[in-house]
Amino acid sequence: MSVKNVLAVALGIMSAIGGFVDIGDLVFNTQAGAIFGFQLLWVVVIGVVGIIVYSEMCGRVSAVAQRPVFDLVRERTGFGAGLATLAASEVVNLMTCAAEVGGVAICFQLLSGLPYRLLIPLAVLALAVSSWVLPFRWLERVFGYLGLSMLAFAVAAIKLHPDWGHVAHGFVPGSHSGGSLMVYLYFVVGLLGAAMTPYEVYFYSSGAVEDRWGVKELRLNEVTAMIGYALGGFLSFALMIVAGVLFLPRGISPQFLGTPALTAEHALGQVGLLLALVGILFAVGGAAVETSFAGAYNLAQFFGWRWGKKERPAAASRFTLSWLAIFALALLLVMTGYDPVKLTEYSVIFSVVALPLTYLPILLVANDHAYMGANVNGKLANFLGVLYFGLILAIAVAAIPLMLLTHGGQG
Amino acid sequence: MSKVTEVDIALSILDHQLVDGDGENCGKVDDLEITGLDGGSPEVVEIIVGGNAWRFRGRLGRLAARLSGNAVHVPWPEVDSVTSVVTLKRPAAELRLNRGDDRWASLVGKLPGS
Amino acid sequence: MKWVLLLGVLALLGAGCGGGGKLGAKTLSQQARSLQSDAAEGALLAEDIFSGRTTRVYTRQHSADLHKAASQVEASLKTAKATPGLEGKLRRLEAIATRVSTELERLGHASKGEAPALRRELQAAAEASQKIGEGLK
Repeated sequence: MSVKNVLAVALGIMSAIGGFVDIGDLVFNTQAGAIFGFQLLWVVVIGVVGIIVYSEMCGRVSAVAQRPVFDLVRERTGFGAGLATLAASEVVNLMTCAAEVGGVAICFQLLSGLPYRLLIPLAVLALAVSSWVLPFRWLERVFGYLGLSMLAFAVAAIKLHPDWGHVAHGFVPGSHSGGSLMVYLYFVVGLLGAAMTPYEVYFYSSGAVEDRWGVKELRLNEVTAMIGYALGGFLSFALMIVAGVLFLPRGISPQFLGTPALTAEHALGQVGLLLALVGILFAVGGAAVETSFAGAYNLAQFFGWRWGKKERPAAASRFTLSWLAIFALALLLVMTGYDPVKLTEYSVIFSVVALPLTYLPILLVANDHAYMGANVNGKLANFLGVLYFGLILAIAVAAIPLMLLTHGGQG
Repeated sequence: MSKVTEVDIALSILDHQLVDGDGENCGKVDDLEITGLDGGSPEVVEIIVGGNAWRFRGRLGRLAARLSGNAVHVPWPEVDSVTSVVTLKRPAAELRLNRGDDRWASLVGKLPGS
Repeated sequence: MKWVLLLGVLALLGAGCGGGGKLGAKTLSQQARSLQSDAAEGALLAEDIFSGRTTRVYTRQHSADLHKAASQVEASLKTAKATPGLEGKLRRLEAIATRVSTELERLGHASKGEAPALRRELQAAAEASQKIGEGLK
């Protein structure tokens, strides 16, 4: 393996880690830790495996068919189904983008002390300018690497000396103690939804085409998806563990984005606090860019427009205007003053409801010989793909009733 | 190639991606004009792209069509090859495709570095 | 079909809100939990102020957020009427909420020297809220 290859793999993995956690993971993992301690760690594992399975499929489709998954949805599932998938994806993308933008503004505020309402348009401007100016690979890297600052949470988790026996126990699925069953199930659904958000796989798929992946990159795809997301999962573990150690015993119920940072601050002091805040800023900011682009990719690929950062903005003008418009709409949504943390809770639950519609086409396309040739899903990919699809259907049905019954996890 | 085979091919490419002579995306096969289906001598006349091409695609299609301008009609002989994408012989501009991008290009072009 | 579902969801949501003006045990215990959380988080922050583990900007912002949350609890408790038998607990919780709100406001510009006292007070308030909340279960 040449140095160049190793470097490429390392870079891919790093952006996956730094890009794994977004505001949904932050909110749900921290709240889950504060209520149930380490008892939901096993759910994070299931979520991580789920996104690995589907990301690998999406990456493989892009590398072999040379077109992203969503590009193939309309021709594979038909006009009506394709339009339904598009509509569901766009609504969820927009909500998620708004939540992430709000999160960026909050991070700016916690770092600068400037007024929130001023920071919202500033956040959107900063994100839009970076998206405009930076080439695709640099976008991935800047947000991915700086998101790695969140490793401060992993260090904090160790420094806070959790009972590692209890932590290990949390990886075993089973009955819980303390808290109601409905709230427990709500968090199972929320954690899975936060880990397997559709925009991630669609962005990954279009990104593979932007990065010009071909059949030679199939191995790279597997490795990046597996190691990158797995290590990203560690960040989710860390968030839940620190919340379990510091918040659960004190009865602290996290309702602010700044609350998780307290754990890094308490364990590691000012440096920990700043690393945590910067990490959150770039992880959430990266997610904001991804959701806006995923929305634009989906629109362009449904209608057959020219698309991609690889094109000059004016040449693919409808694509360009699409992602700019999504940022603009997100800006308006956040300016209404609606709490981004609450918006996050809704966006995660709604994306769970849309998951079957957004994941089914991936499974269909990855099994289609016409596009994939010899690289169709093997037995393992299909076994896991179908298993997870069943799980996705179950949580999609349960999501809204659980949200209503538990008043959004309040009990 | 017999006309019947051509019609088979055409029917299979509905909703597929159109690519122009320069390899650029230029829309999807939104509709097809096929004559002589009942008479037993079917013939593909043209591919219909964009605009109000969706007016035969159900309720949502009719709504979308009402909000759009005129579709572009691409005569069947303009098709170069058919795989999972439909490749045309000439550039999009010559066939009046991708006008959407052209229409908005001047707005987007006002921003630096576009 | 879709409209039926939508109406059903809206009806459920409607049933969740409203419910008249009297504060029941469940709502009161939720308020107590909220207050306990704000006070405990404030106490944690105060601890970090004392040991120099935080930054001035973060302290100011985060305690402002906590203060706002506690003030909202205080405001809703002030205007609430409890169901019979809970009047005493309601007033006690209201008094705690006022204390917590004031202390969280002071936390925003507290010096290292002032932090330990604030921490003790907030910790005590958290424990008092917790007692009330648990007594209501």
